[in-house]
Amino acid sequence: MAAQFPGIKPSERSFSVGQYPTKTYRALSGATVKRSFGNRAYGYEIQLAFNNITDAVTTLLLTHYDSTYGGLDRFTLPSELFVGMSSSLTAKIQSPTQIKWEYSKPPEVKSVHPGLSSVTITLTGELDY
Amino acid sequence: MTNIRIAQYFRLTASGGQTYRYQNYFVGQSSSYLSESYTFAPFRADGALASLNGDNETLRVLFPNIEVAIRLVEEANGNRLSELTLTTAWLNASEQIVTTLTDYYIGIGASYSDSTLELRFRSAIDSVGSQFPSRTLTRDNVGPLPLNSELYLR
Repeated sequence: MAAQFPGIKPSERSFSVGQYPTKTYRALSGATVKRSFGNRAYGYEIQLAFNNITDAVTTLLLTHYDSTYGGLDRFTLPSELFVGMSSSLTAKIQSPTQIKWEYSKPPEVKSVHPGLSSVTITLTGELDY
Repeated sequence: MTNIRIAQYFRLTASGGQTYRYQNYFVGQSSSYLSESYTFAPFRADGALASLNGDNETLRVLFPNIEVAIRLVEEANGNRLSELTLTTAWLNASEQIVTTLTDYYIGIGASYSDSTLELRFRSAIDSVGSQFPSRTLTRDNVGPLPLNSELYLR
């Protein structure tokens, strides 16, 4: 497992809940049967935006991405990412049951001013057993 | 709408006698079936189970190429002549086993790919209908009996 994600407060964040592994069979009549393949949700997603951060902080974020070998290794999330949320909601998002986080795509960096950048990061929470 | 929850319990006895038990529903947990503990492994099993013409049916169990699966194949002598008991269990909403169906197979080999590991099995010897075989084969009338259904009538 890789080191924890850097403890930097994001400018924006959004979250989508994972889904349970199911498959639906729909007959010609329209009747459906849904089969469950497991008892845990997977595929959680968090999008983070770090706006107008210094090159040093940008480097920190990119270094963490490299330390996971481009999304291969999974990691946990620090509480700094969830500032402003209640503890119960933070627990739901920060560490759902058996979920570890990985990069779903490389970080995107946009230069906004000399020495300042905006970085967008998308993380996926997958089952780690 | 009807909802079904199906877990599969994989119990493999290698030709050397070692036993491996896995289930594929309770992620990261162990599940008990017939007083034995089955740990989680992300496998899937597919293939034909039976036919009326008595052909050897093949079953494929697919694992990701992870350490536990590689060790299983290596220690089970390449899955040759291992014995698989595969139980399909229907669960209720409380995830308790309600109904089960158990099939028996004999290992005929394994193969690797870059991301998966495939174990191949054939059905263990079994009658497929009341008319087959027309005689009961015993050690007394045919000698040593085969372990799997590769049987030739001449």
